[in-house]
Amino acid sequence: MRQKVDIRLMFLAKMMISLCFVAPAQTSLQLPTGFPAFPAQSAGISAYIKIDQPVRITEALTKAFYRVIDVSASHILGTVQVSHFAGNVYPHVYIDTEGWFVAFFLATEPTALLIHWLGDTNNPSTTIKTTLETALETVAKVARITLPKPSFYDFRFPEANKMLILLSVLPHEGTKAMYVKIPSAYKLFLASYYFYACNFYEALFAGEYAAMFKFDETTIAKVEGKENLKQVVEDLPTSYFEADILHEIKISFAQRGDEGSAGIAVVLIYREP
Amino acid sequence: MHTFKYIIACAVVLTLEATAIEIQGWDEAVSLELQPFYVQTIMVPMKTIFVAQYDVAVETALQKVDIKTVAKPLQTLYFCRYDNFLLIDLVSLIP
Repeated sequence: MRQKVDIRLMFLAKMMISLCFVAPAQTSLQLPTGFPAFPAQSAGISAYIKIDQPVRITEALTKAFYRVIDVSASHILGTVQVSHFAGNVYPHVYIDTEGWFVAFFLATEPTALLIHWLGDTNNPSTTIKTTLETALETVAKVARITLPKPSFYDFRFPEANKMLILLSVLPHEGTKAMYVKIPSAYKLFLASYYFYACNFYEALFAGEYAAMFKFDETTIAKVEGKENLKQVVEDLPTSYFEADILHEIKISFAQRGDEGSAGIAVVLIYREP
Repeated sequence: MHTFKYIIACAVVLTLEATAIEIQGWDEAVSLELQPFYVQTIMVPMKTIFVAQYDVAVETALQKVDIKTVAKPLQTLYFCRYDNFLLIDLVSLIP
């Protein structure tokens, strides 16, 4: 009997010691009120899905992330690495226990980073896929959830209701011209481009470039040098797209040997009447 | 009457064509709808111990949070970023 009482006393003492260590830290755990986990103020172009099942924020889920920025019992926010032959991009991904999956680029990042170049440097594909979709697929695979096709939205332009993605590749030396005409009834909010070239000619005379992107004969980007792959991803001034005029977008590419390619993708965000 | 209907149909088609973005010469084009959404989730502090393995993602996370309290006897680290707590098992963080 005395032995049982001793054991109980020892257990009680252990509990009190544990509480002494735990209590000071745990008492400061307070639920913040009204602080939204999703950073809508910082987001730009976004791909999102809301599933009808709860999602658990687990240790395993963190492994899908390249960098974890914020994590709580209800959400996780970080960046996910997406690799394609023209480079690596790191879209942000937000997941919460309510079933939201949102992949997005920051408002300050060029929107054309959403271009996921498929194929390889010598055989570029003309299929259009977004890095935002790939990022969602990456986290969904780790979470063992099959996601449907996402919807898109740009937090910078609440009035915009359409996004047009245009893509062309030049798998051999030469020049290629494409055209765009935007009617005056449309309101263009953003134009962004992704231009890449690889395995280009490196011994050049002054003013001569191995790969070039021109808009209405104005040189927008030119790449040359000894690196095998170079890319330029930037936004274009919307004033370039004067309404009701057919604008020419031209890329040219000089190869070193038989391999390599160049490509251009343009993203337009606008309001269709 | 048929001629009149044909003229109306042609006018409708021309009007529709006139209001679309015109593109030529592109290998591929995709048009997507943009639809607004609103995420309502509020930050909730970690209430259970978040056991994390030592990896790049967590290592980066550790650099981003401020150490609030270290309770060594429990071999647990308490972190605080803004008002959001993350409890990580210290043992599993040691490589």
